[in-house]
Amino acid sequence: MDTSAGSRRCRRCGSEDLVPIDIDGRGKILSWTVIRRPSGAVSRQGPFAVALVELTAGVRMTANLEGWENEPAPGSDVVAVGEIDGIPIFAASDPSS
Amino acid sequence: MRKVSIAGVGSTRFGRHDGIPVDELAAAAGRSAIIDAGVEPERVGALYLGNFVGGMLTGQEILAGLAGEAMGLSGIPCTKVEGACASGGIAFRHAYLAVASGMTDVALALGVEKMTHATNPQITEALNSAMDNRADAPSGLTFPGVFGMAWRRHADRYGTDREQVSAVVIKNKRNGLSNPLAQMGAELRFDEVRNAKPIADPLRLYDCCPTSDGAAAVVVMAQEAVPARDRAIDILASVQSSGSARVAGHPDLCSFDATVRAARQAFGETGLGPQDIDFVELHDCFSIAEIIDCEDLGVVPRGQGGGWAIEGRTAVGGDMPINPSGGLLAKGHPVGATGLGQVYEAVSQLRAEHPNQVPGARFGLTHNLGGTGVACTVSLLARPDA
Repeated sequence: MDTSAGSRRCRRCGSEDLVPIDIDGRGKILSWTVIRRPSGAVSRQGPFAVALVELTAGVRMTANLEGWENEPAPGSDVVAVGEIDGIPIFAASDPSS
Repeated sequence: MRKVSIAGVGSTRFGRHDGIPVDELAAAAGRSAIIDAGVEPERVGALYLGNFVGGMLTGQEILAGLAGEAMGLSGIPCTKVEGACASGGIAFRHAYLAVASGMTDVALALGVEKMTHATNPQITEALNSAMDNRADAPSGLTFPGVFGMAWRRHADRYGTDREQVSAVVIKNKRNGLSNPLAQMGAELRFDEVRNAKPIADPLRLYDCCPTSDGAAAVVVMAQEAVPARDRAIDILASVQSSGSARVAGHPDLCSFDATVRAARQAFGETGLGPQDIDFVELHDCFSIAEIIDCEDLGVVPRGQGGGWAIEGRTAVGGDMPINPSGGLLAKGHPVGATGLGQVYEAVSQLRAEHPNQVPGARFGLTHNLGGTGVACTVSLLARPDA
């Protein structure tokens, strides 16, 4: 019996029929925080910001956030501008651009 | 399923217990619970122990067997359970199920944690293992950060402000002052809470529970076998539920659906409603958590947790007393012991022996939450004459 250990499945319906999609890195901030006392497991020192971002494509993710000093409002638009160790960094975007 | 009661409770002080091995700490609480119950230790037919970071911070596993041996309970099944900060509540529920199912007449639920010997970065790293480490931790997110994000969302949606959130801290720290088991009771002013050092915005130091050593224990017994009915407290419901282990997996940052689910089931099983509850011991790991939890449990209307706190409606003399023990914020949070510490406090209330007694308390609710709301327990306890 093939148990397909390690194969990727949809968490909602269990389907293995997954395909990569292109996303434009745009989304909005649901909320954010500034980590001042990091875990010993990360090499970075605080302060740095973590945000929960909802991508236009519908996916939610925790990621890093630049420009938190400007106190972005929840719901404001962001775009991915880079990454640290595979974790996207988002920054405020002008929604009209 | 048989009717089940709590026959005895025991607890160490929460705080620092330098030089006491983790199994000895657990055994100290367990022995006092057995004495309180007035049962022969040989009658204990099963032991369940809640512990979360013992392996990581002390290098010691097999704690259930070690604690059983330290108490002279030889040969019985000794099982460790883990559900992050809800480990103690889960141990309680397993002891309840062992008795309710008829497997044994007497079961012991134990919870223990030793944390204060470790550094803050080590403790944060150990606690972070309660996140899905592929989804959330790589961004550098910590648990104070999870609740910082929840606070900002709650503030945005309901207008909850820092004064309201600080009112939770001030109330719980004040309650802790008169609880001899509490680690950090204090009389605090708003400006002291507001100006404390920042941890994860908007959370500051007093918004976060301390790290603690401690143990708590509960002897659970078939109702018909309890020797002293006048001191026994009945377990009307003991429910466990789960939610997403990932922040992004939560439909709403202002709510933990595991809490909502567990509370609904507990009320549904008993026919009781939030209006019947005389007091609540809930999982205030952070100030904002108390506001979210009381709304999730349904004991305070949605969005009004902050308002109720600042109006004194959740104080001991208020409409719905929350955490008369001082909660995790003042009492401390030895993570594996916390859920059983809550049961200890609730039993003291229902026996009318609590230092912050809610007058005439007949029904109490305890709520223990783990991780990002991945595990939750809710129990409804009652005076036998209720």
